[in-house]
Amino acid sequence: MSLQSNLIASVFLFGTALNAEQAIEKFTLSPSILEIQGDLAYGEYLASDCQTCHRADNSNQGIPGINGREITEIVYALHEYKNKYRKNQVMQMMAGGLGDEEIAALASYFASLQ
Amino acid sequence: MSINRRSFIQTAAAVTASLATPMVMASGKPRVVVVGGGAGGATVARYIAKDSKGAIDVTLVEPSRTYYTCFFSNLYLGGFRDLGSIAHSYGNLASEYGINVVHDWAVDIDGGSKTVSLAGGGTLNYDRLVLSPGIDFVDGAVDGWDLNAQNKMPHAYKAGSQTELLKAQLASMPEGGVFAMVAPPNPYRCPPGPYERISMIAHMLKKSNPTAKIIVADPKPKFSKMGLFQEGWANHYDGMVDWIGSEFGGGNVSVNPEAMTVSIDGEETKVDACNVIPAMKAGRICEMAGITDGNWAPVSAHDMSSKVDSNIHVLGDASAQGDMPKSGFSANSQAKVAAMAIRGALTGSKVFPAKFSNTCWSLVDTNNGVKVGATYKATDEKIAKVDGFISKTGETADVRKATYEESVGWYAGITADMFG
Repeated sequence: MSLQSNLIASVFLFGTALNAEQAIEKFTLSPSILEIQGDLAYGEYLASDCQTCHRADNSNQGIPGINGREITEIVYALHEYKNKYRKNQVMQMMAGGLGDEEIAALASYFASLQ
Repeated sequence: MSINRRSFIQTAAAVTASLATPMVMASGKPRVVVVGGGAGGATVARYIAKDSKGAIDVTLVEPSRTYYTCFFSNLYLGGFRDLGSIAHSYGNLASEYGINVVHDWAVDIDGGSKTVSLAGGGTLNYDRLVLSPGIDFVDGAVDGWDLNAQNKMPHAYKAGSQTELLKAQLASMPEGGVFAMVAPPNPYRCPPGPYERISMIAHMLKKSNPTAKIIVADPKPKFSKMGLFQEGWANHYDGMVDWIGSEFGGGNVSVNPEAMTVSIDGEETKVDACNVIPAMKAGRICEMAGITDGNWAPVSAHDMSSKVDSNIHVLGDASAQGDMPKSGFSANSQAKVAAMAIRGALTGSKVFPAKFSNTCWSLVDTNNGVKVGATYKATDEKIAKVDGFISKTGETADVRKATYEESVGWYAGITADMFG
């Protein structure tokens, strides 16, 4: 996946609920971050916090479903929130508390879901 | 609407099963009993059952067959939700997750023999017990009010019939009538709850009874999202809401439910409807278990286990855990930490460091949502705040609308996370 398509995809992620708070900025991640292999079991635990809002059945109702998205797409989205390139306060806060390994774990887990 | 014929049949089947087997199953599996089927209890039961994949027997004790969420009950008062939309059954937890749902009251706990006694006469054995009973009220907290008066002056802080009653009384107010709220002292369930309620009642009265007045007697000098609510009241309900904080005698209150009067700092006012939200304490089963210190049950931040009995975990409003507000979101977050720790203790599954989060959304007026949130970590002393945010005054209508829509999504998400 090219960087440009990464950006397009990651900007789209979570976008259906958050049009009023969206910001589109150029944002890049180093290959060392993108190459981290996420721990699925850790991702499953961390994801339980996300699933308070992002429904496990992947339905979109005010907050979008995120199951089955590409790992890179999710990694980019969370780093963009963490670095405040996206403006939703809840997501900035949630991503702000995550390290690179945790983001990789979450991305692996959500990508593994249908 | 969350209750349908299918889920009713599932619930009925679960109740039948529990009546037929008042003692726990002699399966040889580790046993977890959960008391209380709200945001903490339903979530922990579901996560343990789901993630242990049948390796742990889970029993959920909850007297109500229909659970009305306290969160979003204010939106029912404001006319944004019908009561059915905040009602949920336990059918899925029984049928989809194999949880033994027992509709009964837990009336005693023996930490020595690890048993829970039920009002119906049954006894449940446990290896780990989770108490998530929510709140009860402190006797004598508001002079002149006790539970005998809750029909004349409802608390409506346990959702359901009390919420319906308050809404009916508001609708019956005469033109230009007076509604009073007696707000609670800290700490209490849902810090922004009373003030979202004022907003929703003002919204309703503005349409149906625009000359009505709202008085809030508050024992606190400030409250959650105060600037946001006061901005909203000034912009949307100008002149309707009179908030009297502790600096102006708001904590010096007595009520007379028979005469329908409220006395604030010595000044008596005749009211047409009155919502008394008394001081709160942990659900009484925590006292009966002998795990309270003062009004609440202290817990370890690492696994939500009681500091008195490590085989008992306490979730949500009833726990004294540190920095998290008493909210449904908090209880749900704590439940996942407890579920992981309990599975680890009983089956040897991997346990990760505890992380917690909370966000409280409130509705000020149509499409005008505000929010406050924070993340937390476990320390040896308490659950400690890491980072947080709050909506800003003066936000655009688009931002407020997006916040409201986000809250609707959260409601759908958390209730699915609780009840499956």
